[in-house]
Amino acid sequence: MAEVVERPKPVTAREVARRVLAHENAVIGIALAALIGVLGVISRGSTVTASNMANIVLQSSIRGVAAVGQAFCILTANFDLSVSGVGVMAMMLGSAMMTTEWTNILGYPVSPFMAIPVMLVVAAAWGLLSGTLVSRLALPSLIVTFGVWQIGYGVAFYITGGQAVMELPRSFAIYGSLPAAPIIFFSVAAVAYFVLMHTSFGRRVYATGGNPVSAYLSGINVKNVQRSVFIISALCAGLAGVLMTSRGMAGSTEALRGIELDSIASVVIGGVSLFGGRGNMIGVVLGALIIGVINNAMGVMHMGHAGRYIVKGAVIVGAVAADILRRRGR
Amino acid sequence: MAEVVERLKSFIDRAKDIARRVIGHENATLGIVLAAIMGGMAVATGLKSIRISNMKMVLVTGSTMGVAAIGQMFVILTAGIDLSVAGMAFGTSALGSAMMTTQLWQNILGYPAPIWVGIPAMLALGAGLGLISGIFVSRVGVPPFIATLGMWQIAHGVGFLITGGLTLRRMVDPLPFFGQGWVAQAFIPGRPAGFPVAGIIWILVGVVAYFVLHHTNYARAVYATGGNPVMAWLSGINVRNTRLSVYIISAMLATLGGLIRTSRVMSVSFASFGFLELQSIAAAVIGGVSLFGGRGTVVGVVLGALIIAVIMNGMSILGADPFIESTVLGVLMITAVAIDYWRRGGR
Repeated sequence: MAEVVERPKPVTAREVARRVLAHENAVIGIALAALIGVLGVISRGSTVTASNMANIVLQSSIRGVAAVGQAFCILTANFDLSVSGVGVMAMMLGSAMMTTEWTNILGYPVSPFMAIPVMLVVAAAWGLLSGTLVSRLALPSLIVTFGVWQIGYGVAFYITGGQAVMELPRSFAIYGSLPAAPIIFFSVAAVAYFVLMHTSFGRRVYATGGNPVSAYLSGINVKNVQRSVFIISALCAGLAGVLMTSRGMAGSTEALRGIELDSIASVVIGGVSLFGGRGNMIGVVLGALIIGVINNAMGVMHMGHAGRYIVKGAVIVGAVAADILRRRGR
Repeated sequence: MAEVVERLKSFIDRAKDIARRVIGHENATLGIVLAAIMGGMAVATGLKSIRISNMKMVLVTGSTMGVAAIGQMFVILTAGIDLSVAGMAFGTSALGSAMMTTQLWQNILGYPAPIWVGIPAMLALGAGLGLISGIFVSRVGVPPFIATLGMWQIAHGVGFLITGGLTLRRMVDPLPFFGQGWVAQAFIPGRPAGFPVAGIIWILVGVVAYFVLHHTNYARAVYATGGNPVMAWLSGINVRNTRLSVYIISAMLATLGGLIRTSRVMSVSFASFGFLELQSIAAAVIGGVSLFGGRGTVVGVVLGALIIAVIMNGMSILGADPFIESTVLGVLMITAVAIDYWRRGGR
């Protein structure tokens, strides 16, 4: 019997292409490119101008920052619905501290270098609250963050009596403007990528989301991990509040409405499993850009509220359904 | 003498036992809490809140939430959640009012449709949208929270599509009867007396739901699906169809709630139903429905909705700011879930 000689297969271009395409993030990237192309054709080029592209990146970076935090939550199979509540509260607090108007709660305007840390710390404190309720009392994160969202809005209204706050210091405008906001977004995402991929905390997050029982059995403090992801998410929500305040140079209780939906949609489109333990930060960034492109195109094409709501709802449900069907196929 | 003492003792013991059982029953606790809150509100508002006219008002304003909460309960009993309630109520009310408004330039048909066309159309739209979220949950396996969150957006969009963002007013004549009518009006025209019709609708929905959840096989399917879906499936219950049906029920009851509010305030705008999903969830949870499924009663949910309605009513009499209302609702909800957790024995 002749011996069968196994020859190593040569690495063909086709093989490389297949591997790249099989990678999840490549699919998301291609979807992003295709979306930009299709929308460019539909809008007859008005969405693909350089200035509009810059605008998309700017808009996405505020929502993207919140999506990075949300990704931590969803990786542990939790949700944070309180993003806009926490963000708006940070926004109203910070702007009411910095304004030179009569709405100032301190009686004198403070500098952004004082106000921004306060905004972030207060936001993180709210994350600590929901994180503690979820991890220590084992309450469903959905309800807890829904309640915290509500309370956050209540506090935001309370700070200025629902009054919009204007007249913020000039030096504050830089954070939400063009070079700075995307830089902040991409650096936050890069830090998050590093934390998730190269630290033991990242591993603990994935383990907690993948299988909390086995994570617990292998010595991970599951409760602390759960609590910290809510703090991270709230911190990111607070940062989104900072960026949004700076971008509009005003504090308004309406400014961040719906950002939790956009952040969940970004994370889901970015390939993070809603059941925890699966997904990566590059996908989330791409997902945030996809949502940004969709939002922007709907604005540029003067689509009314009706179309926006329907498209967003369909995108969220469609992305999750696609994720589930794809995994079922395996 | 000793015999009398003995008999007295046994009588006291029996009374104690009955009292203990009544108080030990979950719904009795809720009733006591409701009474206490009503008492507190009465003191705080200088007895304004317990006037008969105001109590009727609580029933009328609370009925939208109360009806929606009963629908929400069906979903939560199967361990799901319906976040689309407010969107659903808005979308279907927008359709109904756009068909039934007498302001012809806003009417999508060009003439005001009679209520026996408009109301079934609303319920059909609600059932259709509920069917879609039900299919996504039961057949595709999308988590209920995402499916209904998306459906909230879609139904809200449908509402915007129909109203164009405007406020619709002036509905055809018999419609106000459902939201602002009084029972006596049905017999003696123009006499605003007796019991509010909206309250009657709430009670009727409650009675039907009570019957369905206590005396039918369907109830067993709903509770079993929520309690342990695998077990339910193994004992021959069609878990998928049960899950599908509860979203349709919730959507239709949200529609009914929307109908009551539309006919009460005689106008529909996108802001009409803010926080309805939150209120309905809070009512169900306060009423003792476990968010993990399989546990809860209709009576409890009605009491839970009454508690929220009384609190909201009392705060508006006291002239509380909207921020306090929003905060109180948030705190109430988290507290109710925490109580549910302790009741489950720290599981």
